[in-house]
Amino acid sequence: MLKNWDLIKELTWSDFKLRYNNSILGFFWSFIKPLLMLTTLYIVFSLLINIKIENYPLFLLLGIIIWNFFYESTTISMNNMIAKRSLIKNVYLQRKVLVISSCLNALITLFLNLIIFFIIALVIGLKINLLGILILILMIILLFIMSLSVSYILGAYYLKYRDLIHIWEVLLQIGFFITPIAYNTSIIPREYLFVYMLNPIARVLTYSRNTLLYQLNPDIMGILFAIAFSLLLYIIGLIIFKERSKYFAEEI
Amino acid sequence: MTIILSNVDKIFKISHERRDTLFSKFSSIFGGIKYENFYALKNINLEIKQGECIGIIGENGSGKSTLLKLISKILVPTKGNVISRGKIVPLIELGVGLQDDLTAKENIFLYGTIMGLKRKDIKKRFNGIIEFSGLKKFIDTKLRSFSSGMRVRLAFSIAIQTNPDILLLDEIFALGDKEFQEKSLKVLNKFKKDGKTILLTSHNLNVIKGFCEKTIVLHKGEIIKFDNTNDTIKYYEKIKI
Repeated sequence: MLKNWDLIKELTWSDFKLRYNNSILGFFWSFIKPLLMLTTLYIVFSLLINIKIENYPLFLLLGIIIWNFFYESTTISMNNMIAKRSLIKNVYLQRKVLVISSCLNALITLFLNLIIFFIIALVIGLKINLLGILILILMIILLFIMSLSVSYILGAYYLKYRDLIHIWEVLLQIGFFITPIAYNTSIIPREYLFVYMLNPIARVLTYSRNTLLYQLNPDIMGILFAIAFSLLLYIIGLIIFKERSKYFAEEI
Repeated sequence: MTIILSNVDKIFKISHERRDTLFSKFSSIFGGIKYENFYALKNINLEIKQGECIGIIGENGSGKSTLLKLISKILVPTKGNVISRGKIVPLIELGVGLQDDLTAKENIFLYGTIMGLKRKDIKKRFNGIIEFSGLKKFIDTKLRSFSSGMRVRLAFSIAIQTNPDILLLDEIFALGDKEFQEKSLKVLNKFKKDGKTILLTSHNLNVIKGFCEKTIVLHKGEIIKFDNTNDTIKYYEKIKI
């Protein structure tokens, strides 16, 4: 990865610039999108369904931001495999840089979104502790590794099976509801909680909220599990991608 | 030896209808879908020494580009081995990766890193690139308004900065205007003098004659002749394929 760092940087940055190309509001969309989603979900879940959660706007916003990252990194990665197909076909480059740069592209959006999050947190008057920030950073790293790994797997097969994107969009829709974005895990029956928490995004989200929003002590065992899980996923993703990438140039 | 190919086959699976969705994969399990094996290259044995300049000729679809793509590791062989030593720069489709909505300057950095340059090296050679391309006036213009000739000039000017050991050129002399072609030829001659290995495909036999000592004739994926250029071209013109 270090050998290709300049290339990854250039691809990430140029794609980010081009993303909002020809749009009037430009990269401000990175701020507007999560806020619009926050408003919608807040109206539905807080005013209509009447969910009672402390600090609900921030709770919800963090959920949206983290879910958004997973959503964007995986879909951008898949689309990028198609968008950059002439490169795959005609230039020798490490194909994984296309996936890495897509995920970094989504990471820029994540950081822009977090700025909004912390501005709102300051306005509301949330007491932010150092431990909460550290756990959040760790969780973002894990989230990045997991999203990258999933993107490797999806990207590895997408050139061959183009309906993968439609299947994936359905799965993401399901994922949105089986991840504690708008509700918290207390509504899950105790005996099913372990199964529920197999969803790694649910873990990332729960742990970062618990320490950042509610000043709870971090669940060390759970965090270690998440670390082990993301590393395993990374190895699997990388192996699949490496093996499949040999055939990319002829599958397009 | 810089490049060695031994017993190389490259087979493309061709289906007459495109079947690239999972649905068609499933239906093919029941319906039975017929793939045809197409030999893009067949039993290729080739050894190229450092500093050699080799021409590759043959009709369309004879496997010229596939051969270059195998050497540059864009494709993997179905059978056999491809070994190469040194930094390879393939110029197969020049200008791939240039972005319409970025300026020429931004594109120099993007394309340069795609071709394997480091950012700091591009900075160092930036003026050289601009000068060679002759596009100084357009440095802050978006590529959208460039003509195809200007694009190729820009791409080629960047690509020659990569300092390759092995240079693979696919139909490169069909590009740009006459003046730029002469300029390019001068650069390639310098590469040749510096002992770089060059492989060059072209339909223009005069280019091959003027530039390559040895030439390969490919026909339907097989090497039917590999000898010094004069003999090879005489043979090629005689058999008229």
